[in-house]
Amino acid sequence: MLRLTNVEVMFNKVILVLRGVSLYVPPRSIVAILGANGAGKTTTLNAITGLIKTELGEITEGIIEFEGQALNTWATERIAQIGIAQVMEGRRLFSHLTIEDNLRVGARAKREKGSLKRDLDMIYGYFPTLRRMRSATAGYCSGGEQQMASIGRALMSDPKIMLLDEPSMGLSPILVQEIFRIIDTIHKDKGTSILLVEQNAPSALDVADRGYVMENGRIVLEGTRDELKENEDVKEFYMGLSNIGKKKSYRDVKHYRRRKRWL
Amino acid sequence: MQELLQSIASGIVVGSLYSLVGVGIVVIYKSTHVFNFAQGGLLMLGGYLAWCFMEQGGMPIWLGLICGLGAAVAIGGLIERFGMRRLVGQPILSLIIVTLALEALIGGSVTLFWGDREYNVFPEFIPPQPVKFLGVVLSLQHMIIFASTICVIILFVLFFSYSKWGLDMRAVAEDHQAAMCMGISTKIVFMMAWMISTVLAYIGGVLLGSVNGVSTTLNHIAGNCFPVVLLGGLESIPGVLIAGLIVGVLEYLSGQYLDPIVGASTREIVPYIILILVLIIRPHGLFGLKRIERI
Amino acid sequence: MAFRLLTIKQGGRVMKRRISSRLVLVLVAVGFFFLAVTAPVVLAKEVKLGVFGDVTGPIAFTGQQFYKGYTDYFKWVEKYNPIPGTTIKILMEDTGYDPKRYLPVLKKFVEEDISAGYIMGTMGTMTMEKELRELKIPCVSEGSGYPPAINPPGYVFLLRPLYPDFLATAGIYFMEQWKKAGKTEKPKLIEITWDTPYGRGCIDQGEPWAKAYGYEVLPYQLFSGQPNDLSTQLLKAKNLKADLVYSNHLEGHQAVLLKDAARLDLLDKMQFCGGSECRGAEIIKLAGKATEGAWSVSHFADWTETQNKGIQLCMNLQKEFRGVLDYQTQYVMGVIPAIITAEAIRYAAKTFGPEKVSKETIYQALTTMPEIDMLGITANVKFSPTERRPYKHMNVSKCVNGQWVKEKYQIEVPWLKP
Repeated sequence: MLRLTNVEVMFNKVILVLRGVSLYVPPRSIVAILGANGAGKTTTLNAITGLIKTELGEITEGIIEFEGQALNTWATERIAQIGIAQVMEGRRLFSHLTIEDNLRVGARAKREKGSLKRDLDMIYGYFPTLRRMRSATAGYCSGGEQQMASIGRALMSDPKIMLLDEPSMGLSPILVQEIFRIIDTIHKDKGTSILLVEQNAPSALDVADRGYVMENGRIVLEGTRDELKENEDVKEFYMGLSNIGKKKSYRDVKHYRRRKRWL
Repeated sequence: MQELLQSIASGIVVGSLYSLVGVGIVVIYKSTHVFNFAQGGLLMLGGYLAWCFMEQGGMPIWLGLICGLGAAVAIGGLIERFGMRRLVGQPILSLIIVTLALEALIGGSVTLFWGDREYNVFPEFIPPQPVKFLGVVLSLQHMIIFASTICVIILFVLFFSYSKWGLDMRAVAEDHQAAMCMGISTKIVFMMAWMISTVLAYIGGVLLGSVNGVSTTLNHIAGNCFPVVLLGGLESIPGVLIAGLIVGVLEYLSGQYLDPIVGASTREIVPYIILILVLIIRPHGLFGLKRIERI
Repeated sequence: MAFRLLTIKQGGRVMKRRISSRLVLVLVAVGFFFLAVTAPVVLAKEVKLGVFGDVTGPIAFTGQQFYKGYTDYFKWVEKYNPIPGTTIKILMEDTGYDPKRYLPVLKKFVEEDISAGYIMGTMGTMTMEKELRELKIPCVSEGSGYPPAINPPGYVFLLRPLYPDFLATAGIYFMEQWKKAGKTEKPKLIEITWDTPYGRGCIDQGEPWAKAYGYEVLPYQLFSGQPNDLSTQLLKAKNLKADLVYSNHLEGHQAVLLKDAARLDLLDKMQFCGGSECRGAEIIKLAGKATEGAWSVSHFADWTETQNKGIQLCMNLQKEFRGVLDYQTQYVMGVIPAIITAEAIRYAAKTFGPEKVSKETIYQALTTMPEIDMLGITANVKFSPTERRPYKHMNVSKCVNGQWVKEKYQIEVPWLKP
């Protein structure tokens, strides 16, 4: 459905951030992108939706294809209207609008105009908390409520694929669990594909079908959920699951003594 | 007693004119976060355009006014397309400075094209009948100014709260990028904001010009509108109305009662004193939006 | 290079050309001939005049008319009645009635070495009069609102009496009418005027005079900026039962005042009188019917006085150099300083010689020359070493049937001590 082939992204014509990224999101699947800060995950999502153009960035190589159409030069508004919805990093709600107004705005990109009330009810069905908070000013809601509103807003446009950028950021573990549960439910109910960017690898891998690991603007590892969960390096660097039960020497932990197997 | 009522009535009228101009500034701010310093110039240009079509073009009054309106819309669109759009994504200060430059440019252009003459008078389309009530005498022009302002304000409050476009404009003002992700075309929103604002300036210019003709000093009224807008809160349309009335009435009351004590005219400085107080005590104005910050 | 090549071509010897002595004589004669013909123009003394032009800003329209009248008169002089041995050059800079701008412009004019200047208003007079005393540049000035400029007499030459004398003109004539109607109680005077030195010019000296002359002086009312509504001031006047309302400001302001007075139904209850700028076609256009019966103090002739030689001259100036007669009052006001300046230069050229025309000799001329014939536009002008006011006689005009006509000529003003 969504395919990136050798995409290179450069900012200000000088800073190369993505160096030949290739990935594929099949229909009706959840794909996770893991990586540390600064790996280029958000830039990948922004490149797909065209937001890098507002930050003086451009795609200098490669193609981003969605259902056969190349999206490289499209404007963000247009991309939103063909079924790609992005939940941006840090929620980015419209702070002075109410929750319900935020959801209404989300419906702008809907391809088939249906009943607004029906759509709102559907979202409130997935996120009962939002129904309670519908008239509250979005900026004053808690992190969890904002994240739910943000996902709900993206969902209002009935997208074919949702791009989620670090939905767990700043949330408590219980809320993280809840949100991922809801994401899974939505995926199963509606068949929406999801491209999930996360630093919280365990939660991400629990819900994803496939995954990619990014470092320094490159994809360094790809595989199914199980392959990634079993991978030694992923376990050590992203899940903190090395040497369980064994005694650890501090000397061994120092990173310069231990090179990743994929380098 | 009659003097007090007359002062208040005159103050309300002048205040409503400030509000009318101020709404234009607020609309642009609400949608784009740009403070439009050129609103005074646009008002003057609007008055001159109407005058040009009616006097110089010799058109019947209704046709002249409509042509002027069309010209105002076109100018708003041109400003957005060639002035503002190129600066999307730049620091907001750059755009504000462009509006400053625009004000100077409009002032100069008006002098260039219609130069010389002060006091260019419209053909009379509002008969100068006095309107009396409660012992206060106002002119029909004054009543029309007040009524227009109220209508415009109500219209825009409804627009921003309930209409689809109003919601879009508020969303774009909050966060350009997020709005784009929702499929809202920021270009169209900006264009609309500028066109609406120019039309409001045009109406203001026509009303103000009908009182004493258009001249190259017409844009000075904007100097009094900036304190009004800041008092009301930059994002609030009802705020602008209330602030305008407060400032107008205070101006006239001080003119009536403070002048003899001080021995000179205090009217001009009243708005600015209010401005200083507002900025010290309540920077976001009476009804403005506070900055929502999360730690 | 080319010369070198030439010589080489000619075989290495530079050929001397013998120039015939007859050719030299012919060339010299031709040269002298040209010199003699162009000498008057080339050697004519260029007299530079500096105009401090308030052509933008609050008095923009007025200032532009002043400038037009001034330059048109000089064009006429250069064409029909040039001052022998001199050419006039007029420099103008935009001062915009902004106090910050006058001194820099003066500095610029000093670099250009102007011999005389023209100041368009009280603002310019106020800010520059000290410098002018030091620089010794004589300037004619419209600014009658700043008495210290002429007391002690300096380098500012007024084009009309000080503003308190304007108020006195209206006061004298009104009192005459008052007494003729047999009223014995004191008439009440109130000033409703612009809050600038120009607008306030009549208050300090004029009101004590009015009191001594037999008026009851009511507290003056000021307004600032460009007003749209003067009803509060008018209601004050109404409540205090004023009889004469005097205003020292421009047509735009007076129009608002008259329109509001019409609306408040006050036009038949009190006499409105404006200063000399409130007397043109503009105010009738702006205020319409409300202008009927209003007075305006003036020091110069109205366009309607077609028998007046000076007015005929102004008409010719407009016809020849503007192509259209627009009857703007302030145009005539610009011709007045031009006449005075031109005649001073002419006198200086005659008395001291054209090559000696300079700021010193023009100053001498202004203070010692006999009466200047103003062609009837104003009373004849005569300054003196101790006096910088031009004349003592003023007029009152009235708006009758949409035209300004003379109501009373030659009122002798008291020349209130500055």
